[in-house]
Amino acid sequence: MRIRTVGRLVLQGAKNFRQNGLMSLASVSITSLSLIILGAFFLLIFNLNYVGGVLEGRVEIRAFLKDNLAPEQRAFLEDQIKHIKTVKSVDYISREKALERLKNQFGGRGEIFNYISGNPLPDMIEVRTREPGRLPWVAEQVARLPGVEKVSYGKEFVSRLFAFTRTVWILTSVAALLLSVAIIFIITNTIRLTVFARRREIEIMKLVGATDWFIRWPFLFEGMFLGLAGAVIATLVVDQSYLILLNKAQVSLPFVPLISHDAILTRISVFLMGTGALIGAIGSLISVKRFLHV
Amino acid sequence: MIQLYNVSKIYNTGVVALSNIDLHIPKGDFVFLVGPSGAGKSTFIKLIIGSELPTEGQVLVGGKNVSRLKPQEIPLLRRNAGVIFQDFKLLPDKTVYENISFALEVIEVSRKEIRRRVPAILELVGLRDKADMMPNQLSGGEQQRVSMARAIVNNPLVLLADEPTGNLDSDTSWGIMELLSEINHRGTTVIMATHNRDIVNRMKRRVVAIEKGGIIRDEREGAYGYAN
Ligand SMILES: Nc1ncnc2c1ncn2[C@@H]1O[C@H](COP(=O)(O)OP(=O)(O)OP(=O)(O)O)[C@@H](O)[C@H]1O
Ligand SMILES: [Mg+2]
Repeated sequence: MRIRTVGRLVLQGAKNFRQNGLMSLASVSITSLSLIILGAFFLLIFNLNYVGGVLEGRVEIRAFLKDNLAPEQRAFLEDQIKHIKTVKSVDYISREKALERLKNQFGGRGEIFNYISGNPLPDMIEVRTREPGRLPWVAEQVARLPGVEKVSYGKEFVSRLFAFTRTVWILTSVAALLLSVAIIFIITNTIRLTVFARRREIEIMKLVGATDWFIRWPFLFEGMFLGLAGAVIATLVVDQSYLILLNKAQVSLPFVPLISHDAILTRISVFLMGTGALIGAIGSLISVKRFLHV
Repeated sequence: MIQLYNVSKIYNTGVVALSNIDLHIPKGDFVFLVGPSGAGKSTFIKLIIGSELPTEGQVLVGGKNVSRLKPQEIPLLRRNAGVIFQDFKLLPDKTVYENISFALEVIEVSRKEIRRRVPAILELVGLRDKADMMPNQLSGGEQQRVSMARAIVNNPLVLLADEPTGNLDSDTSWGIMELLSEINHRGTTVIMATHNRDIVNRMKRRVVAIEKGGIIRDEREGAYGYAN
């Protein structure tokens, strides 16, 4: 295809967009609205994954050991735990060290422990895993080993988090599907108007031997304009809202880890623009198809 | 140029538009297709430009089997087969010049070439001074000449005319016939479906008569042959 031709086809697409004023506006609005919803869902998923990732580093299994375990027995136990699948690292924390840590955590007020006689803490082994999803299973394996008195881990929270993420994923997929159908529907109908207005031209183009792609491209561009225009608006809205949310969260919920703005902006914009353009293109191909049989 | 071998066309409504047609049209021929309404004349023309595919048999145009063409090869066939219609099929919001240049633009002919060819073709059909008019400012005969100019501006091998004089008075029709003769004279094969007995009888060209989808007569220097 010649360069001049490409220019002509893009211009024709832009012209279609303008001539279809009100309907174009409606499609852009619906597209941006749908993409805002999609964008919000994806922000949520990105953040849940991010929280999951952060917790992955934090969540650990604590195996409390029986009193008076001989050092060889303990070494053997450590070795056994290391060989459980997905276990990343194993750390022995003696009761003395545990007390030290506890004191540190209380900062300047650590001296209250001086009033407690002896050390009530047991020896323990901290176990980190590579897959937080396997945590309950690993914990169970550890609990069975001889020399282990008791096992504790953030069972409730972790399993809830993962269940929640799964639910959000399913919801997002369903929403993405429905919203895509909505966008395709409105864009298809918008472009159908232009196609209909230009059906005589299309018929003549077919009769004098224009290729189908030559006929399709302007509509394809129109569809992609519609989708992209909606996506640009959606990106701006999602982006700005997230900025505001981050600021608020920093003040009122400082301990909740959220993805920093920059890291996610590019991904969300690329995702929204890509989706917008792709759906616009699909919509236009659907509308023009019927008119190509001359 | 055009060969039909045992061609039948049955529309998906079950209507048999053409059945077992065998016909050869050599390069440079001028053929009238005559026959009552519904005989299958328009269907014949559609088969040649690949608008419809034969249900049975082979349609060869310039040695190529139309029903075996890939979808992307159909445009090439149409660039070599100009078509004009009873209702002209002009674009109402484009000038005479634009209507013709449009046909060249959409097949990606260069701008320079378009500037050369369009005035020349307007000259040929006698509409040089009407280039900037809109179709609704033209008479029927003039509109038909625009439509003809559009059909031949790309130098097709064959010109197909489906009742080109159907809406025109006798004098205007003769003007169109003179043009068709001229185009034929320059080497283009012309196939014209018509109900105009006067024209057919006086032109003394090859006449192919179709009735109920079958060829009932094929004569050199033939006559219309129907009472109406
Ligand atoms: N697209 C179509 N679908 C179904 N049937 C069709 C179609 N086009 C034509 N026919 C039928 O095929 C038969 C032949 O039609 P065709 O248009 O070829 O006749 P014609 O000879 O051109 O008639 P006329 O002189 O009135 O133009 C008719 O019975 C018509 O109803
Ligand atoms: Mg007809």
